[in-house]
Amino acid sequence: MRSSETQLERVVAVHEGAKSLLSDSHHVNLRALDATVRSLRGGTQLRGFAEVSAQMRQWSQELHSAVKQVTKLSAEQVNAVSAFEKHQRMLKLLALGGSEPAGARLLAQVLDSAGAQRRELELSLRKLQRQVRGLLEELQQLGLMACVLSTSALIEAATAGKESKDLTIVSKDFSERSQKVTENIRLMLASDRQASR
Amino acid sequence: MKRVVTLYEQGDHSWRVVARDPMKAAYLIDTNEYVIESAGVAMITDPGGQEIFPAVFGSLSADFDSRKITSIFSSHQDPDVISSLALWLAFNPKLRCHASWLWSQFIPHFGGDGETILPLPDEGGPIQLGRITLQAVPAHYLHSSGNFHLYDPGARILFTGDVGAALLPASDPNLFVEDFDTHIRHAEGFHRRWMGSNEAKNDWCDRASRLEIDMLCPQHGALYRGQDVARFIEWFRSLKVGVTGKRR
Repeated sequence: MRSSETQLERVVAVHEGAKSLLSDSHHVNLRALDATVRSLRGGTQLRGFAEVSAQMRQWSQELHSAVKQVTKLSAEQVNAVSAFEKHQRMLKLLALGGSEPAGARLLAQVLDSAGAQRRELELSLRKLQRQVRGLLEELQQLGLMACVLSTSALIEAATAGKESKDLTIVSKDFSERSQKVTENIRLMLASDRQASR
Repeated sequence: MKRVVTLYEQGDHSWRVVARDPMKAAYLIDTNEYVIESAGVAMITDPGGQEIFPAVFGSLSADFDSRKITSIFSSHQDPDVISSLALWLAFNPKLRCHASWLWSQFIPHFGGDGETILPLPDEGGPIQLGRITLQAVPAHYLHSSGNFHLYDPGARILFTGDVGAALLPASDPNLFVEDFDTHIRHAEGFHRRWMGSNEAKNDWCDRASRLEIDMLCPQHGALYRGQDVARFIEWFRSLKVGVTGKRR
């Protein structure tokens, strides 16, 4: 990540991460549904795997719902950052004017009121950033949970008798996705932390 | 929210339109923005006014990684075309903007510095984007005195700025022209008044007729495709322009 990234670039970086997570959540949801049905058909020996895959499915739905909130907030952030940038530019241009005393007095009044507006815009921007941060931290917890669940799935698959080979493939897929999700969330948090500086 | 529709996709080469916005304020003219991508690098055409920047940027980013955009093509200097420049530069200060040399000291009034504008000579020329070469096609006096269209020979798409534009009623949501005769009524007044020179118009019609065009994409209103492209060029050729509504 470049240290010179702009606020909007960071919003886009988080949003792109969210889009990738949505795709992962769909994938896990379908895979886990299939695995749950298969293991329920397999009887008592596969009950453990059925339980883990059902939890994996629930996890994917929680991930989907949290990520949807992130994308909604990203859209609000685009509006807030745009308004803030527009205002910043106006303030910068106003501050350059007014070398002539009468003009300077008038501009000082305008700058005063524009400065108050800027503080409001900045506050709403910070509020949104805090909300996004909160959601990303929730996502981080979900990432950790996925790692635990995929490990459980691998253990259950190992004791699944003749289904063991197939279910190990499913478990490895869960595990790879979980690692991808965790890494993605880590990058999103890193982008967001840059944005809050 | 504006909608993003893929118009063309072949490998890593694509065209998207960020199309009309039903939520936009009635006092602002509606616009289409086009995003051309090749090999992971993208260009946005006539990115719009600063008032609609959040709608354009937000809608586009929902579907596309806006960080791929490295350049802007500005058909001319109008505020509905390029007054969002400062906000695009706030997103990516390294963005560069292709525009007529005529406007290279005018457009920076909207934002940017001495390096932002890449001036296009009057005769136009190639613009490299990723693995493809686009052509800046002269369209001076249609309507601006320094005006360019953008042709993609691979996709066979011509972006035409205000040429082909129609001021459609809000009740018409069609992305493409569905009934040419009905549609063109909404384009007629606009072209008569906005286009300043019959000579320039006829030159453009000759130039456009020589290009292979599957889609003609204006900055306002519906897009022309298939037979409607040639139909539009012939209609435009026969239209007397450069007159106000009463002096036809």
